[in-house]
Amino acid sequence: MLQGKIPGVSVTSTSGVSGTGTNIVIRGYSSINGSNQPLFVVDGVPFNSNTNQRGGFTQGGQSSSSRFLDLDPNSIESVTVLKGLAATVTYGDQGRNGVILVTTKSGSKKARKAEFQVTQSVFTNTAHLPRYQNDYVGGYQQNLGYFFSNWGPTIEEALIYRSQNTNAALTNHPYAFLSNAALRAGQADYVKSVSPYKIAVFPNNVNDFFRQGNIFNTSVNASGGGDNVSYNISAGYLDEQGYIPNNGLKKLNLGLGLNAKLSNKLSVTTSFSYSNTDQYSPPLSGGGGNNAYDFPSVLANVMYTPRQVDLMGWPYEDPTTKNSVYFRSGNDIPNPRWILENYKTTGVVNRIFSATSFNYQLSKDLTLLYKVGLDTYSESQEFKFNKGGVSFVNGYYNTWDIQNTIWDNTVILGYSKVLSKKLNLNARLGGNMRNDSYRNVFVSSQNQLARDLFRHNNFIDNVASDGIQEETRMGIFGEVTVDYSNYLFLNLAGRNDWTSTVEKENRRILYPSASLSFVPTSAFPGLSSDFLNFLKIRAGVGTSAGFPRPYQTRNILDQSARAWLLPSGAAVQSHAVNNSLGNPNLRPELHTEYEFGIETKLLKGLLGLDLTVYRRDTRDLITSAPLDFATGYSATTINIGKIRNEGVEIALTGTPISRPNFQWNVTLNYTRNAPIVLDLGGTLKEVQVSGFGGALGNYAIVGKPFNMIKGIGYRRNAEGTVLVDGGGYLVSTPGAIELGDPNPAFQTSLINGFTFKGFTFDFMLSYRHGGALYSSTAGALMGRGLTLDTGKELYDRAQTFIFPGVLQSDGTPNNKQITASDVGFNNLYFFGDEGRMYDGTTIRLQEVSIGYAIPKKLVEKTPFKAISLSISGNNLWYKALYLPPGLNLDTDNLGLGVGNGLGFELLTGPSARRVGGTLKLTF
Amino acid sequence: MIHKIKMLFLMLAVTVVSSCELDLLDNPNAVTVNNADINYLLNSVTTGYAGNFNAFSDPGMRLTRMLNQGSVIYDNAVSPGSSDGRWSSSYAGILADVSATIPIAEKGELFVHAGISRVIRAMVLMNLVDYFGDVPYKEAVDPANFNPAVDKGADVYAAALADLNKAIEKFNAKSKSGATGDLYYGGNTDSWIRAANSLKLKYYLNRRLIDAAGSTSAINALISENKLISTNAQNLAFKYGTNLVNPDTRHPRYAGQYLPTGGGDYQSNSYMAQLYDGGRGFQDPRIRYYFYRQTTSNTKDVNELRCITLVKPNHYGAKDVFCVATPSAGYWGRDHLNNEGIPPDNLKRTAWGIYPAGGLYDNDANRGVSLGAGAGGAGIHPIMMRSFVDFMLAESALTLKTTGDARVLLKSALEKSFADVRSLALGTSEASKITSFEAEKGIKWAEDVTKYVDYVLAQYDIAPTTDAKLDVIATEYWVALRGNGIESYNLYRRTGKPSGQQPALDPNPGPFARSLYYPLSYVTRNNTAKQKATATVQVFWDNNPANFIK
Repeated sequence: MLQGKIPGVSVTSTSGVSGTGTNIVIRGYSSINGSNQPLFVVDGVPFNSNTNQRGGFTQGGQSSSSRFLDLDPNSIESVTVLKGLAATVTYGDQGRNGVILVTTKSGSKKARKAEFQVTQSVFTNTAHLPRYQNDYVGGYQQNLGYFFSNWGPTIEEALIYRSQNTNAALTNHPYAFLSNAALRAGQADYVKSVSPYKIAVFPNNVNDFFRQGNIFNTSVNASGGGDNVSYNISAGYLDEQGYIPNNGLKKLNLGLGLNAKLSNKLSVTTSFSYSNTDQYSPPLSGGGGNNAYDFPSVLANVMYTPRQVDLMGWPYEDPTTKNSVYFRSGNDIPNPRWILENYKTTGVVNRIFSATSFNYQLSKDLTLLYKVGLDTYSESQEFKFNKGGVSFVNGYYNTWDIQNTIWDNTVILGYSKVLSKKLNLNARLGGNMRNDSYRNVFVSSQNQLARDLFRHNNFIDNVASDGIQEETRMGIFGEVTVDYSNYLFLNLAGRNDWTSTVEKENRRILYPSASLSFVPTSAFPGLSSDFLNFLKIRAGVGTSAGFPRPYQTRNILDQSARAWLLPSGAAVQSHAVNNSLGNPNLRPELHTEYEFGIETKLLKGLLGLDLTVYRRDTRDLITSAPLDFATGYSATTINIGKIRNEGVEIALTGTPISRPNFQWNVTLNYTRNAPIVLDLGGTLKEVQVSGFGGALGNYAIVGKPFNMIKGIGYRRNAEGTVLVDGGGYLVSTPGAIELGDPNPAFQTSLINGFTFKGFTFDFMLSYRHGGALYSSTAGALMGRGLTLDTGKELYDRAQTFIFPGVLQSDGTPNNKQITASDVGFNNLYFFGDEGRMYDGTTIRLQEVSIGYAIPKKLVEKTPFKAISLSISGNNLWYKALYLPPGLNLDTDNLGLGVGNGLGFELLTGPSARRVGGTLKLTF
Repeated sequence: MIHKIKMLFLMLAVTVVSSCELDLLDNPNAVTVNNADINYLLNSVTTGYAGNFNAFSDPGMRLTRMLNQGSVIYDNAVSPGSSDGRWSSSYAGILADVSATIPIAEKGELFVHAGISRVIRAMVLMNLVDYFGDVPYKEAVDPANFNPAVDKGADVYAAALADLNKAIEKFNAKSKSGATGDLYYGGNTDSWIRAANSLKLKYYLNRRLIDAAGSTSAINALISENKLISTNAQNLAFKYGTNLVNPDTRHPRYAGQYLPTGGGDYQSNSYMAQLYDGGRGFQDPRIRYYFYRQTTSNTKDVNELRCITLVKPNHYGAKDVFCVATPSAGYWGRDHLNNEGIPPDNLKRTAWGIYPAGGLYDNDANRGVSLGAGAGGAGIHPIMMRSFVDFMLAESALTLKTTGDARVLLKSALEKSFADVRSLALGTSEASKITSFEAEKGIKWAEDVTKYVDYVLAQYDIAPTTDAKLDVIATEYWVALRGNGIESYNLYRRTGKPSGQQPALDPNPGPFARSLYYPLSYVTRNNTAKQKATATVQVFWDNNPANFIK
């Protein structure tokens, strides 16, 4: 919805799988471990937009959805994004990452026409998939076989070559070679039925695993009312199918809004909404191209299915035990179809959101506003894994029940006065109190008794944990705006907050802001001309605070009720010093931003420019600082360090053609944000922001761009030439080295809109320049020889290869020949991380839409007030300029899940293309 | 007017701020530090050491060819990133908990608790020095100091000795109550004293290169005191169970391999070859306990074992095995420093056996491993066994001329090793399988043991020099150490034995790692830390020449 439309706002999805989380970052990352997600304010009160992830990126976190999913896009009237701190200061500490102001139709204060509107849309949802080669089949070293890898010969070669033509794989089904005797016996009938087997290529084995999902969205909206009372009622229903079976989303939204003028002085606006979101998906988790890392993931092994494996045709389960069966003799790959049938994850959310404001006119100049918001939801997430898989062999069932409630109260006293003919004054004084409470119960069970039954009492071992978390923040704020003669505007604001998350001495923080704007074209009327219609110059300085999460200031003990078992079976309990060191001196962090902008309209409004440059510093950064374990602790939350974000945002608008019947509008957006880590408190050299323990991941390193990717690279000599070992292989570095900066150098989008009579035609192109990407899909597909890039046309596997390096033993030029399998698997893509790094530059056709509104004259004869129809497509095409073209990989992907990580793609799902139409009827 | 607004606002602020509770600082989901229970704390320390032992033992086993080392050069085998877990388990895990335990225990006169905590701290400190050299100690485990400086390895070792001495003193003192929940000895103080003394033996033996005289007199004192581990019940071993989850009490080597899909560790070809033949012409009787063959013949398929059609590299000697441990019997692991990818051999490669991992006894079943197979993971970590004590005494008698006859000690060490391997196996659910297989095949355990021991003693007798005799002792110690890489790594650096270890696959694997690199976390988080230039840096007690071992 917001993607690419507003400079400075970056929106990225976890993957194209329906219902998965979304990251929204405005003006870059300003915190290492804290949240960088903006504050959602709906109808004037905060709206929780968390993504409750059940585990990290290797523990299945990627299937969780983000809670702003509960909003009904059809009931949104307007969205405003506040980016600068000068604008967000009165929203409190959570406004530091920007504020997304949403006004729903129900919460709108606008006068309402008596109207009834029905909107129906139908879309298709398909995956962007790699382009496979279909000559070479599974094997290794050109030797035919059933491996993870596809480094075998072509079938034609295999039939001719003497070393291969007696290979049993040519004439036997792989299930005849299962090592496990019982499993093999279970498939004997099937194997017999396809004997004598003839090996063949299945060109669509991966494509057929995916499907075309359909998305239906219906919404109705009714509004009306008289002079004193008006209402709005909305209802929406979404049924979305993902591009893989058993994945989708069902959502019901109900909304009610009332505006009432109770007297001449008192008016009230209230909106109430209910949503029910039901998301379901097979499990998704990170993978490196060799099964999923620690947790099952349906897509971990699909993309690199060897070409001779009939994923959709062969049996996927044992006929009696219903255990997973697949092509490798050790049966150590879970069959993706088995996972689809037997592993499910669900998330059901019931949410009630209500915003009410009372406006009382105290006197001519003075108004009192009271707003109260309640946002409460319950979320039930489940992992339901039947026994018989490769991991969680005996089955696994996990339930996570969350209740989250936000109460928000605000009182604002507004004062507005015309002081003189030229001088206007507006002032606000307010107080706000917000209480967040969170309660969760997490139960995991293992060792399933009966298949397909998911109740904790159908499992032998149950482990439960539960907890609550509560946080209160209070603030008072004030704002004064002075407007002199409509060309000079001064705004002063400040907020003082108290938080419950730090010890008493450090509770309070004051953060002010000021901004000044000047409109020369109004101040000096002579300046305005046909060329220069409008010019505005603004400058501002804003501050904001950040509070730590609760419970970081005091030490606790780890307790385990079942730490060990005695031989008798009796449980042994334990206490241990918790490895997080409480920091009683923790205090809020302070963000400061300087902003300067120019806004101008030229050539009678045909050309417009809005340019902003900013610099934002975060000081006393609240960081979960890793400690040397030798201190006895692993981390503490502490105020250290400084991150600076500097950026430019440009929006250039133009109207090349403007005729009564035909208009062409162009918008060019440009965003550049450079985050740099300036200081980490002097002791720490680096902090891993996200990633795998001590190696691959995003890092904050002093003097480097934030989120620098480090991983295992290749050893090089002083001249930078790679070192090669005695076997002709590259030698990996012993530890992680810097591999790339994942922050794009800049991002632009070009939006074109045409209107011709009742028709509209819009399209949006976007371009991302740079930004390093670590890709498991690239690693798995290139390292295992699957795509066109390693196919017969482009890559002769019969040749040998020599790495252009020097021998590590004596420094002489390398002359050792190695094979294609060695290059792909044993060197570039599976040994070390450097081979999986790419430049993420991508050009994309983000959106195309054609709309038509039936002319009024024609509509008049029908019972309708208006009829409009549109056809649109989203994410229709893209090209990553520096990735092998056969991969067809989307560089916008959050392999690490929603959070502060960046630049990782971990086989959690290709991106989706959506095409469809919308019909809107107004009665 | 302005005044009125001010007043109103002030009132508002006062009501808002004071009426509400901001005291939400104690974590409502956790136990506070004041509620620590001494027995529960001790359980953390004792179970924690199982993990610590496993973390240190692992690289020791791999470097000394007890298990495959999956890197192509030594420098990568001991990379900084791979040691974070060892550092964290030692300091943030055990030492932090010990520091919390000892004051409570000593204040409450719970001396057994205090003694056990000190013995375990001593073991952790010695592990740290044995593997890293100079490490933080005096300034460590202090929340007020984020940058603890290193102490000399010798000083930290001395602190470990002081802990052992203090522990013995505590065990001898009158305690208000025992530690019956102790997972090692059920609180038996005599056994703990023997364990502490045996660890002192290790301490002095490691130091013998730099202080022969001091070690000689100290070891003689230990011998005359005669309070070393000498019975099966006195063995210092962490005992695993068979529970799958909540908690997983299975031996970690078992848990990583005994799955429906197999996989897990590759065994070392040369270690298996030593047990299969070792130049004797007959098998070590322990071979069926140490290893489980998932297939009793060697594969011919290059897809399963790429090297099977390759010829032995030129830098391998005539005695060195290559690719497989034996020509045909299915003992199939990996050669030293092999970092190849994983072919579909997960239900074919040789697995851990019943000792010490609690796996399957090898009765020629010719079947893959599976979940719960064999002894279900009810194995042990052999931390300090009575046989190790006798091997150390044999080495000491031979090299330092301490009390006792090296040959007699070698004999008793071997016999104790055989007995302990056998008794562990017969104490599990595999017992009936063993007895019926032996009956079927006419295997006479006692005779086989005697035959083996006699052969070794004959080798010892004909060994022409002290060095050659030491090689016999050390080779047997290495074999008996199965599952204990810590002492194996110490032994190899201290004696250079067993000699003739299998070379790395690459002719240039770089120099042998005489210590590990410091962990990455330590180097990046502690501003006093300085990484070693190479892993050839020797620990304080290792004064053997550079390039002394490969």
